[in-house]
Amino acid sequence: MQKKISIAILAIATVFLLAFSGPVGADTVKIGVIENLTGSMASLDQPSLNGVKLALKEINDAGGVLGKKVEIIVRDGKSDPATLATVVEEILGKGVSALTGLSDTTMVLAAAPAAQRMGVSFVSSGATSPSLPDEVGDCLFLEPFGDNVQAAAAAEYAYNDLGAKSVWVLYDKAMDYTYLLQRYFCDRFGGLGGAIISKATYQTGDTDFRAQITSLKSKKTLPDILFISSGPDEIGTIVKQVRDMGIKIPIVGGDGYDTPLLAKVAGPAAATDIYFTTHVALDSKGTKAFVENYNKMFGHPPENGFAALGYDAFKLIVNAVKNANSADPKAVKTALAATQGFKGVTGTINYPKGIRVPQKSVTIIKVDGGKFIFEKEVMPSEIPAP
Amino acid sequence: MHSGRQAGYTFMALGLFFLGIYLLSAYGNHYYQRVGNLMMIYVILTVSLNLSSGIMGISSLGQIGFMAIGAYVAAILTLPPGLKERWLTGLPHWMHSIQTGLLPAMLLAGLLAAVVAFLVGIVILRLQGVFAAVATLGFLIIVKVIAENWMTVTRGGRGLSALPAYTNLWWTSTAAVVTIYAVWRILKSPHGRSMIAVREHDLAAQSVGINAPKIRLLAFVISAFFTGIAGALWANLIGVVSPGSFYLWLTLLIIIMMVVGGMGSVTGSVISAVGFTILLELLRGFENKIAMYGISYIIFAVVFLLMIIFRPEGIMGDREFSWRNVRRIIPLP
Repeated sequence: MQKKISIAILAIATVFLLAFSGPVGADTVKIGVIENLTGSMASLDQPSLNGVKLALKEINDAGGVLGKKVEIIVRDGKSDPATLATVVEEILGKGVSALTGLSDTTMVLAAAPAAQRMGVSFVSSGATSPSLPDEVGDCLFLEPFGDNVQAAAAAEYAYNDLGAKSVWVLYDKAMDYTYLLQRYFCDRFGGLGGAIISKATYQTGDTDFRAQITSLKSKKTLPDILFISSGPDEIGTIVKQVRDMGIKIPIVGGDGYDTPLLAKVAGPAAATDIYFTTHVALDSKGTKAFVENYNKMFGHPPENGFAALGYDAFKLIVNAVKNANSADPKAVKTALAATQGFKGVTGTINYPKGIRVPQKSVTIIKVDGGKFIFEKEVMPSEIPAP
Repeated sequence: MHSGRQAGYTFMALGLFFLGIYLLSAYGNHYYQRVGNLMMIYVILTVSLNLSSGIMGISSLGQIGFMAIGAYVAAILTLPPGLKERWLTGLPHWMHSIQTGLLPAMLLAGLLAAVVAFLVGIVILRLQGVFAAVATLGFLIIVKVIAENWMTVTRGGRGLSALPAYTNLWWTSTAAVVTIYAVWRILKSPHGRSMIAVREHDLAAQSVGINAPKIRLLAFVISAFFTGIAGALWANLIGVVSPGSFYLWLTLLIIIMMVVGGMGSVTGSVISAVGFTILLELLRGFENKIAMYGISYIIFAVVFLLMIIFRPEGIMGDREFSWRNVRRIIPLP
């Protein structure tokens, strides 16, 4: 009887150990992809995942990395912090070399700390807060430029190229991204000698901006430009109402404008004389192959820049695996931090020593009659501290 | 059955439960631990909602507002001092240098949620049925708007991040056991009987001397206390709180859990919270297999609808677990 019990206990213990221990002897390089495929962030994260899938196909068609195929483990975070924090543990449990995904700072803050605790790198494909790497730790890397870089680029472009000397600012105070963007913009614009006439705010979900625009119209001297820091959902409506109320002043903004919604909601007549900073110009020469391959694989051109960001972030990780000559998370992390001159669709990525936000040039797009036209590449000469 | 023997069984069951918790925290992988933590938090939320809505009969759609209050209190208390000084300029000076552990944060979170419930309850609980539901929903919206706009204390829509990961299975499971025990004891006490009497017939209950407004307020406040604690545990588990996290999705989730478990049954709430947490995880796995994201919500809704149609009283109705009933099925010693 005693013997039977001890055998039973042993058997149960073995089952437990087997159930809880990770997979043994992997013959693929596993990379975790965490995106919000449903919920409020889906319009940015879906294209991002498509970008990852395209990169995966290209890499595996070319023979993979380290002589192995690359495998992705995709999980949907449902735009919900609790779900994100859970699925990231699930992915980490499968022994991934690194993680990528997500286009929003709050979402990254929910998902990335678990990766940090396990010492696995997390390359944020779309979140642009430059303080993210300091808030999470040495495992967090940004693939896009930080908001301070794009805001400084916008300020320098507005001051030098548009000749603007004064600005009126409108921003969404409910979002981390929009708040930071206008703050960095004002820092740099003020630093150049420009005047900030006044600031007005609204909140995500607002649909009527006429009160703010009226207060602008009542100013004695109108500003040279309007800096409107908005997410993708509101910008079309804001532009329409500004133009409908007879204000023809140029509008400047950030990568939240990089959405088809801008021209669609505002209409071609209103969507004119607008300048914004973003990651990539999808109509330029350097992105032609990417756009064509994307079109071939998914049957439509990339929805926005986030597709290119997802694509680049994934290739950046695979590049680090190759440089590390190992799929071990620690080696990959070291290799990522040492990345120099990685050429992606969205620009060249260098991580200066100890800084995990890349130094990338910023693309300026001009909107004219509802059309997005590549204007120029800007590398800001001075960048506000995060 | 002898009551001493029942207590013995209960202690043995608790022992087994905590042995399971020990095994999971020592040998389980992080994913199972994470699911276990969320499960315990959902148990706390559902059981405490059941106290005010199921047992007491207040139609509350604002419960998650108390969770938000608890989460923010805990987040502000446990945030590292350096960040506090930089972000939360609206706090009084002496608060910048303090950083508490989880236990004081939890208790203060619960207390503040209870105080707010007391103040709000005095007004809202004059309303009944659908009017109370609308008013409590209004409360939820107000909490969210305050969290979004009180920049110097809540950091607005940007939320508070980099919270220490204090929450572990021991905290969540102990808090869940304490919540279940407390609500159970209230249910079986004269206060609990009064709550049911007021729920069933307000006037009749008052005519036999029950102070209906007072007993309603009591249920509302206690329920908010435990919900606030769940918020504190959530904040230090996820590591980031933002206004959007405590809104309609969680509100719906815990109401569904409570209704499916059985309004008025603590046992039902526990079974349902545990079951739904597992179901949601299984559905997510299924979603990944077939790569159709979002389908879990549909299945979830169908399960809920089928439940409402075929078993509107929920899994347990208002019955409770008892060792006597267990013994009818399994021959216990």
